[in-house]
Amino acid sequence: MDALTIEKLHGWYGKSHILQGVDLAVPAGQVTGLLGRNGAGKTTLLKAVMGQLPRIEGKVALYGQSLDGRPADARARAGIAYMSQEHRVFPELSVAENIKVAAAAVPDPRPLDEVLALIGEIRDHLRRPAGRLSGGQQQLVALARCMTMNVRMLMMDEPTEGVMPQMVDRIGEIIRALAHERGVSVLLVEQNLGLSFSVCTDLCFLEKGRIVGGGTPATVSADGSLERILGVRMRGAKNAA
Amino acid sequence: MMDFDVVAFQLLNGLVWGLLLALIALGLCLIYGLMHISNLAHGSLFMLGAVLTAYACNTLGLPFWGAALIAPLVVAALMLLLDRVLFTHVLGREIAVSILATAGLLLVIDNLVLAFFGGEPASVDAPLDGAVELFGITYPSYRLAAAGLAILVLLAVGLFLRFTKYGLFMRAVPQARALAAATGVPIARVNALTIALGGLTAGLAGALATPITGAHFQMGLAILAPSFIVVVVGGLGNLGGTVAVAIIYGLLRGLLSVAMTPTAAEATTLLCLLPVLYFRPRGLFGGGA
Repeated sequence: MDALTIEKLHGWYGKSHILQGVDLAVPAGQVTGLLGRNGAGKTTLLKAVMGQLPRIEGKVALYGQSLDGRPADARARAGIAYMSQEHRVFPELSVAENIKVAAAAVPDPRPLDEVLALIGEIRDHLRRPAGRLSGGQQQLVALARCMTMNVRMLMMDEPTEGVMPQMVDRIGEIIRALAHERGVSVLLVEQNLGLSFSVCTDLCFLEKGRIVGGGTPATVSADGSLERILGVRMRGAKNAA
Repeated sequence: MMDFDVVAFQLLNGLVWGLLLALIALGLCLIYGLMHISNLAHGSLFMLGAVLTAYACNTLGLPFWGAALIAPLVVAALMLLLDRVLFTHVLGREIAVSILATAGLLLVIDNLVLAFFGGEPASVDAPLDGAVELFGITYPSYRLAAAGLAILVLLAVGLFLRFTKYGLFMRAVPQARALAAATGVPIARVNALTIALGGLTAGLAGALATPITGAHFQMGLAILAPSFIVVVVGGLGNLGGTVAVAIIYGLLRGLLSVAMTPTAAEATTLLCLLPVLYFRPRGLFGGGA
């Protein structure tokens, strides 16, 4: 079954028609990577799914339940989370309060113990303002917040941007654990092709606001679509997209 | 009275006024912090609280404390209605839109009050007569009671923001509105609660001020400039800073009143606070949530 179904999705910023009819299905319990050059519309697509674009047309459904016309907060409470590039944490709230916001906002939050069992690194920072943590630690707090929301679908926009290499591996581990052990479906936008290839079961390419291809990591490497669309080869392609 | 007595009396007056101003500015600060709306009609909410209290006491014959409870609730209910018909539509648009919309609202409220309640100043007897000895001077009991109530309400709002679910939401949303929405925070409800809380505290300040200043349909205009300056000098969106600067404002105004007329003291106090923004453009305590 598909966790997220997107049909003929169009999105605009003012007069700019960014998304031009996106069709995409994200399988349940798997990690799907969304690749594309800068300006292809990846972030815009995630915002449109979350209901955070000024103008949207088309259909979005979560496990068959339509999200159309609902504001972002209602979509979040329906079971979809979005980790954006712009705002990872509430900077002046403590780490514990960042998690509490999620626990208070959704109908069936995941217990804190369960969250800390997977993301134990934040345990020592619970009382610190989240804005004073490193970029990598802030991503872990963001992951903890999404995990607390007990979502069925998680959309991540460049989770490894600006974080140290060892933290990239750790974020990859957590994404795998969320998908394979806890059944969370993930749509991942990630420039780090090494991470995308290691955690994603499927990849799809977005170009000029449309899905133009996709497949498993092995097939997109072999059939040349990775090189044709992104202009890179997988060998040595880490951080190069 | 000796000189010291005059200074002490005026300082206490300034403290009482500063605390009432803190109640008004608190709502202004909350609404700006959460919704980025500069509510020019906020002074009119203070006026409405005062006029409704005077009407309830003088015309309906309600006891003062009953009127002072009902009037702020009416102002809060009005703000809930205005959230639906006005503030929701202004949210997220250019700052000029919110300024024009709330300036229009100010005119509508003030003129409706003039039409329905008249333009004559109304006075209300203080519910507590008598005075208490304090720092060697005799000070009216009611003013101390009003100051005490203002402190209690400010503390209650602080505790609400610190320890309740919606208080947490109200602190989170100004820091990252889109993130709060994507976390499931019910943004529309948080906005409505903030707007209503702003109306409640401004209306309560008006109610408590009635036995001291009386009630008049234009009294909101007089409080508008100090309210905005207190919010800006306190650090836009910084609640603690706003309350602290309101009290500093009141004390300074009280002190200056010893040597000059109240109007001159008001103008001089504002002139003293404004240069702070030259040296600290983000306010005395910095902007924050």
